[in-house]
Amino acid sequence: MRFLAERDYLVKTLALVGRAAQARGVGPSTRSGIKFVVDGNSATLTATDIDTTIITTMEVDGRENGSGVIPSRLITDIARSMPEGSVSIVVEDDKAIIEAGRTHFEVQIYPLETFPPTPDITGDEVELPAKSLSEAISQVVRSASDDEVRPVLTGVLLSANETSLRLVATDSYRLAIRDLVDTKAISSGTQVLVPARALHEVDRMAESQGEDAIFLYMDGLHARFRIGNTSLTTQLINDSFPSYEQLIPKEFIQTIKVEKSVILEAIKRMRLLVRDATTSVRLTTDEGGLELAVVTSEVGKAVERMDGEIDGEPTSTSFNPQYLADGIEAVTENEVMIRVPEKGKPALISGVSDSNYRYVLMPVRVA
Amino acid sequence: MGNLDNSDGDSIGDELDILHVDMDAFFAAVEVLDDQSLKGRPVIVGGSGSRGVVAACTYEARAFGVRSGMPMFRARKVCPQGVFLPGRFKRYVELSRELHVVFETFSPFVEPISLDEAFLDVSGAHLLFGSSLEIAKSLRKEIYGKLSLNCSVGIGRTRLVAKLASKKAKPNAKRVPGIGYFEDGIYRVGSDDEKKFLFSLNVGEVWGIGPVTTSSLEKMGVHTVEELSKVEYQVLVSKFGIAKAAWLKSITSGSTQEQLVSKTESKSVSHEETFNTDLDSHSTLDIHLVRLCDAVTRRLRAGKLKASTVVLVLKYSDFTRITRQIKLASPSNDPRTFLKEARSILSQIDVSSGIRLIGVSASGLLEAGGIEDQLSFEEINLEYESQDNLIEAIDEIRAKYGLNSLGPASINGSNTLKAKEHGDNQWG
Repeated sequence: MRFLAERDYLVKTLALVGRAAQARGVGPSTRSGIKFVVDGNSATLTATDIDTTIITTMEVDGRENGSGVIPSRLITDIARSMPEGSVSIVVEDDKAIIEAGRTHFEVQIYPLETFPPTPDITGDEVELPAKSLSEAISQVVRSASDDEVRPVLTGVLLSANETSLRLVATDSYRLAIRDLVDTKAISSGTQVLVPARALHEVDRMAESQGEDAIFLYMDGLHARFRIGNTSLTTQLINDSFPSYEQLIPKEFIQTIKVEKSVILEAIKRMRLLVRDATTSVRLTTDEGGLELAVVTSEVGKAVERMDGEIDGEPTSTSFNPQYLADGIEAVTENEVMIRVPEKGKPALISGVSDSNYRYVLMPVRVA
Repeated sequence: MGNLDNSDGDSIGDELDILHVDMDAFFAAVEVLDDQSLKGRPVIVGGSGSRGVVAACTYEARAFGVRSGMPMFRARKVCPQGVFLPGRFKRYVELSRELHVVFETFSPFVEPISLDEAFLDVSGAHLLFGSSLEIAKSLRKEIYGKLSLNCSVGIGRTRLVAKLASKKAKPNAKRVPGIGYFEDGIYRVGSDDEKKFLFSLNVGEVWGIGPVTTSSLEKMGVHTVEELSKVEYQVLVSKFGIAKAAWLKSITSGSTQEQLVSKTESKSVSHEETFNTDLDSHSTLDIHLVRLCDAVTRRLRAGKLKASTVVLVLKYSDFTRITRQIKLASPSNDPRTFLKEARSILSQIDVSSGIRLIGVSASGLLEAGGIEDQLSFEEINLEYESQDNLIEAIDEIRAKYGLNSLGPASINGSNTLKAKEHGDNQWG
């Protein structure tokens, strides 16, 4: 195998694919490699950690067809360090030779036969608008759990009705829901659970590829997202998502409307005093407006008042500042609505004018 | 210090939270314990070489004038009929460990001083175990029950007072009438009595004042702590230097206020259980999980601690040991939170090949004051405040009527509750 590629293009492609390669030291070493297959002037790069596989093709100056598995981190770091211009990659026997200008690297490669087979799935794809899907993903993925102990919570639920696609994620402390109206991805009435980590990668891919459409293919076991000439295939989580509808509060004792950037900035300042996960931010309202406060015994305290539209009884509720900021940040409107129910029950955060995005957040109980 | 109505002047809320536990003639008592034929005889444990000293001796040997620290040859002289033994250090270490297991039942804040001595800070244990005096009584009873060894317990506001008080709790100690409260191996010095108590001591009796300092002080005409209190600070400085002078003054003013060294060292609290027969189903293991979570969180609450991580330990039939841990969204000492997390971990583990040991451990410990709980959706329907009061109420009932008076329904044995306690026989 022998090809030439422009350095920046090569680095960008390696970085894209390498996200699926397994970190070194975990599992068989081959999984921390990127498989190159050169056919004519096209190179196909594959990386997989078994759960997630990313495949992309890039145009190259192909000199000799062939294939090889090169350590992902190493080839990426080498390519990045090369002088500007054309980089040559050659696979010979058990090594890869990477050259540019007067720089010459030889690195050991992994045996091709040990590279995991990639899922062979073909079928009809559904075309989805890249921008809105990407936005929806970024709104919900943060609420998924990263704790592998409960795999079901590490997924994002995709569920469909006649007209819309809904994305839902929860880590059991907060719940994010996004409805994509007029979007049909899966048949009405069905649900699938896609690993949040994979969706997060899809979001990144969509951003870096700048394509208008994401093509989705699903069978009972996998989901494949294709953006331009890059695809990400992930195994679905085979578990039933907890029923979440009853968690969405319906009765509130107070509604707060406040400018998104104002409250986000305030939380950001409050967080200067937050040293660990046990410090909460208190949201208090009265006739005059609302107030955020952080009080810690070790560091000190911070208080900030802000204007807002308050409707209902005065309340005081404490939240995890990170969770609160996550929920507010994901609102796409300039003004956010925070609805607070009785003590110990979750608050509901959304935009003011539409309810396509909803964020349900359990409070912190202050002992 | 306002005492409540207890006749002995002991009450919860009094700030006498430091216990000093000192085993009576530990090494010698262990020898007698392991060889009952030595009972009632003057047993002396110590170095057998020409320069050996007495490490410990029974009260029978003390009657002959033998004292620990005395050169062996003198001990042989004053007590020729004594049983002289070289000592078995390994055995003492073994029993010392068992002793510590008992200590930790009462408080996570244990500062060991030596194999047979430790300080306990019981400030967080009153709700569970009662006043410091009640704790001392239970502790002595427990140690005797588990190890058949006697100990003396000193109770005081500071380590120094507690340490000096335990000396006065010894069987043959001379006690000044009207100072402190003595009862069966326990000597308690109330805050009101503290000054009187310290002043009544000879300087040589004070922990930390060694023979050299004692003789220097005696040369100055200072024999008692009371006399020491009258010496000008500057005089002490010129004689002993600033650091020591300040320390000597702090003794007489009773102002030594310290935290136990172990306070930050208690890194985890754990309980485990080994089964007679390996268990191979989640449902049978669950009962033990309930007990273990109950026990671990009880100790956390007693120590006013919360844990940020719950660890589940399992040992398979083939002795393979696995640990799985889960980080809590916010630190907790709530048994329900622990159980929920422990169950969720256990449910992911195949136990069909047989489990011989299960343990629950709490790590990432933080002081509970001011800690906040991130509520989860699973708690959406709980009336949280009343649940808190419930746990507190359970702790109180257990403190009053014993651990087995009340507990989770699933640990209800055929006749009686079997709440897990630190130091329980782990093979039953």
